[in-house]
Amino acid sequence: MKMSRNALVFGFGLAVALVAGWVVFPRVLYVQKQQPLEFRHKTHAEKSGVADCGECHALREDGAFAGIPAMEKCASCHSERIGESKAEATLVNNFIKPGHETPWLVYARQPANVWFSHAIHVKRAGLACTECHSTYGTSDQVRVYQLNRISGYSRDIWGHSISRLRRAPHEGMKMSDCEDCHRRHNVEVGCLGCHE
Amino acid sequence: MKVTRRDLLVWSAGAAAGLLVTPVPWKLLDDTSIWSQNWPWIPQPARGPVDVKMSACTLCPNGCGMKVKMAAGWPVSVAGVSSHPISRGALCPLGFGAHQLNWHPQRLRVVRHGANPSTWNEARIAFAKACSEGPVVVIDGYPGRAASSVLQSFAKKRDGGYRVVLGSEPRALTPYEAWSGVSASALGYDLENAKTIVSFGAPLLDGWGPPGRFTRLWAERAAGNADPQLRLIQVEPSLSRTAGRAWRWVQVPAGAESALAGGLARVLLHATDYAR
Repeated sequence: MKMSRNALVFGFGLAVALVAGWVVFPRVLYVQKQQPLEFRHKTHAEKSGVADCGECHALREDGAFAGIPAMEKCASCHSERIGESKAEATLVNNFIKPGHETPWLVYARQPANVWFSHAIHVKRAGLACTECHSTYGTSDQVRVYQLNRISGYSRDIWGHSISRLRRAPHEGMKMSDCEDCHRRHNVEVGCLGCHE
Repeated sequence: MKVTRRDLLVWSAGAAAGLLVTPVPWKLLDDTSIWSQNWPWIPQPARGPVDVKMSACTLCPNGCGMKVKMAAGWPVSVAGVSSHPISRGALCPLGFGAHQLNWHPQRLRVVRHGANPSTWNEARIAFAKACSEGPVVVIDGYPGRAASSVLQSFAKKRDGGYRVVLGSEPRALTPYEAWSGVSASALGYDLENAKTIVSFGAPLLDGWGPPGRFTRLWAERAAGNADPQLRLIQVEPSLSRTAGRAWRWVQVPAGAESALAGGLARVLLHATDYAR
């Protein structure tokens, strides 16, 4: 009787910890934040004829990646409202007309001691954008940004799977992910390759 | 049902065992390590466009070539310039960390006037007052910079003088300058074309001259060779690192270097064998 009671209590503690660790912990760790603007890659590709990612996410002349396009790029089409959507009004009234850059929450933002070159990966290694960004370029909405309360970075860095098991190849931007990909492509990079 | 102390302990053991098979310990360890890198007092480079600027180091008169990476207009890393004729890509440790001097713990954090903390406005007023009282003499501790020419021009306009603080080598060359009439700044060492170098205590392999210049030359023409193309004769009382690696080490009593140098000069000037 005593043995079975102990086993029951032990099992109860075990179950509580498992539920807390696998279910509650990820929900507490990450806080969900909405992007400042609704954006649809798919609509831009279909209606504006933007066929190539590089048309907006360009590499500068010196090879540096320009990242998210500046407001000037958006203003070249949206200087006045196109359509009646709320997002369009927000874009034009809050950002384009006052000349403010959109404070996008960047999913891929890394600590300052990490140096990453899109130019090397795209031009020299010939990687397609989808290898790292999956089908996000054809998505119909911006994803919710999940901020890690402790580290202050996006959940995309760790990857959606809290266990980091059974992840898709494009998920996760930890150093081990870089190493795994380099190993797969048989490319060796020393410490200073990414940590100048 | 009564909950006993034993129940709590068994429950805790179960919870601890369960926690170990969840991502909690590993994830918390990872996140706290990143969190500790981003404490507010740790300087972080600004986010913004990355740019590279070519420059020259002003931390010493050698003026080594520098390639400075800028983020949002702020320097974030420094590298050597391999095409620079003197430094040839090398930099000293201080030069490599030049961009971090902005966060040096002993940096000047407040405006000081005299020995006391002051404000920009007070310092400006005091400076204007001093300038109005007569000629201004500028003492430049780091001559040769772009700012030096500005200081020189300012001193000239204020009918004052411009003085520089000489380093140890220019100071040593001052008597020669007075004797020969040749400016010490016009002198140089043609190390690249020398076959034999007689050094009187100069720490050639311990950080002398432009960083990397002599060590690179040494690596290319002398290191590891019993009969090197570049022969270094080190005259020094102690077996320094330079003396230990030199082709010949001439041990002289401390202070006797000048006597030996004078004797060598006499032989060079008067020996009939040499004259022929």
